Amino acid sequence: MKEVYLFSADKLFRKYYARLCHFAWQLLGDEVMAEDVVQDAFAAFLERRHMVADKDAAIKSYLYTSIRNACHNVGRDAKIEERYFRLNPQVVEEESTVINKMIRSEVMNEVYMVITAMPQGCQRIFRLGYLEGWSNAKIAEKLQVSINTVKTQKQRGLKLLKGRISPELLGVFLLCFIKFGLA
Amino acid sequence: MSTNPYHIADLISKYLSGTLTVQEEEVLEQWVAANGENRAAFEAIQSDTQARLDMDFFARLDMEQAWEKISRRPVKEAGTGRALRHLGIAAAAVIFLAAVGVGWWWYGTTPKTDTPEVATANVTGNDVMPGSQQGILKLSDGRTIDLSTGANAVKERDGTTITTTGGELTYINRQQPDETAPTQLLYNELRVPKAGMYNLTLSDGTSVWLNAMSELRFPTRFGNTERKVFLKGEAYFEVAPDASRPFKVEANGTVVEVLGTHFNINSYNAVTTTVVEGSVKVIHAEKSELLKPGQQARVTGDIVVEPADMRKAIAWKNGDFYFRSDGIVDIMQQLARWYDLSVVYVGDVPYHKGYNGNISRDVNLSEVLDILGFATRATFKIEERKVTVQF
Repeated sequence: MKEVYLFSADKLFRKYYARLCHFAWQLLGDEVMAEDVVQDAFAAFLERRHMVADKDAAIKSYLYTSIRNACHNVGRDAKIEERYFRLNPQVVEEESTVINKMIRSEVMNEVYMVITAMPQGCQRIFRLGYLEGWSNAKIAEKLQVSINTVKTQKQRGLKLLKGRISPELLGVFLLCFIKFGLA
Repeated sequence: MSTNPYHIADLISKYLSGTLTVQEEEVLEQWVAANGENRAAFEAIQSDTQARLDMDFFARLDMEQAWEKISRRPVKEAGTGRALRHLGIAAAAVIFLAAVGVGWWWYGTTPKTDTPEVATANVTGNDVMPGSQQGILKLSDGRTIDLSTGANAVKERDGTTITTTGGELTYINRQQPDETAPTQLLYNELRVPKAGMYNLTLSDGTSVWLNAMSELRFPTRFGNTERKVFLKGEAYFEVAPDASRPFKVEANGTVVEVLGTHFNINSYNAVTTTVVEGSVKVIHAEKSELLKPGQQARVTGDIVVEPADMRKAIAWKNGDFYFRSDGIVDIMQQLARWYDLSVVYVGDVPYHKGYNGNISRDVNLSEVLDILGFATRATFKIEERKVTVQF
């Protein structure tokens, strides 16, 4: 019997992969392991998908939970805190800490989505203009576009960010352009 | 006040974008003020150095490559029994479920009833009888024998006599002490379906209990250097001592080697070996660990040795379900194997909660579910062999 689902596997993957990796990364402190854990968990989810309610919230919480547990096991496998667990076999990571990490992954994923939704050109101009303090003319020269283009892109970028990141925080997150603003 | 983490995350995102309503702001403020940890988390989200590391992290991820890796993995079709068996490594996820919520403890001694329809506080629908002694034996020439149909006796090509009587399969060969061992081994295969278990005595006197959804491949008589068998699923072994021929079990790339001892191997998910008596050696990818009674080894890339919950490891062989900090999905998975069920979840499933308890495997499904419903506050609907778990 073949089940029919609301979301395709590939859509779910694209939607959740980044935030789940971020969450696993917070728990494990290791990027490679984090991605491995998420890939395993996602593959396992696909195999037992018929057991999970076909609702966004249910799937999300299933994935987060299985990754939390898998990270916990990896931690044990890697003998991280081995002594600790041997001495306190009943102790598990504080529930609230894990939940707050999950909240952070959700929020940061949202912020990242906002920033990457800005077109490349926009991002570049933002970075040079607001972070490096370049003049419009210098930016225009560097990127080989007209000064008018620089101005419009700045306007456009501000418009795009409006209502998605507040002005006070814009500066904080603009800093983030440093690494990926310029390819 | 809502403490749903997704809701809080949503509120923080709205806060960052300056689009919180007054009511929402109140909820968020309450959450932040609730404890120091929440406040610290809230402030850390607005710290630029932290946020920068986060953004860098996202930027480095290669989603296309990751998706390609996953989609290359073989995926079992949903809804079939086999999907349950090949859960893959990450299903180990459910092995350790933290936060033991409600505890339940009950030992079923009530005699079976044959009522087809049940309706208790927690369970509605038709009842399902427990699993039974059943299995299918495949001989070396490819012939198969259904072991659920009474007594039988067959002769293998090498002269080995195979007898089956009420849930037991025995291999006997009158090998003379001076007789040379066979050069070519003849293999038989015992396959136990869902809702089954079966007991087998190998030609060397070793006893094997096979759990539901498991397979054992073994020679009708062993060679003179080793005694090697191949396992899928779960089995309990009582190996007859023979210092000259080590007994080896291969399960999913892991080899367990013993001389004479009692141990359980569960390879539904990560291969887990638990030693009851004697000692065993677990070998995986050029690494090995020696296990003593009371220890178990879990293979998840590495071999992890840890203290074992003995009762839990061999409960199935003694005819019990035995749960300790097990999550609802793990528990339902065990029930699905024994009662031959497909399981569907509805509602807000508490995946992170663990439950305790033991129940005889001889009782009808409704009895197990009624107690489980009491502990988990879920209700169950049984339709034929499909169980809907409603939270």
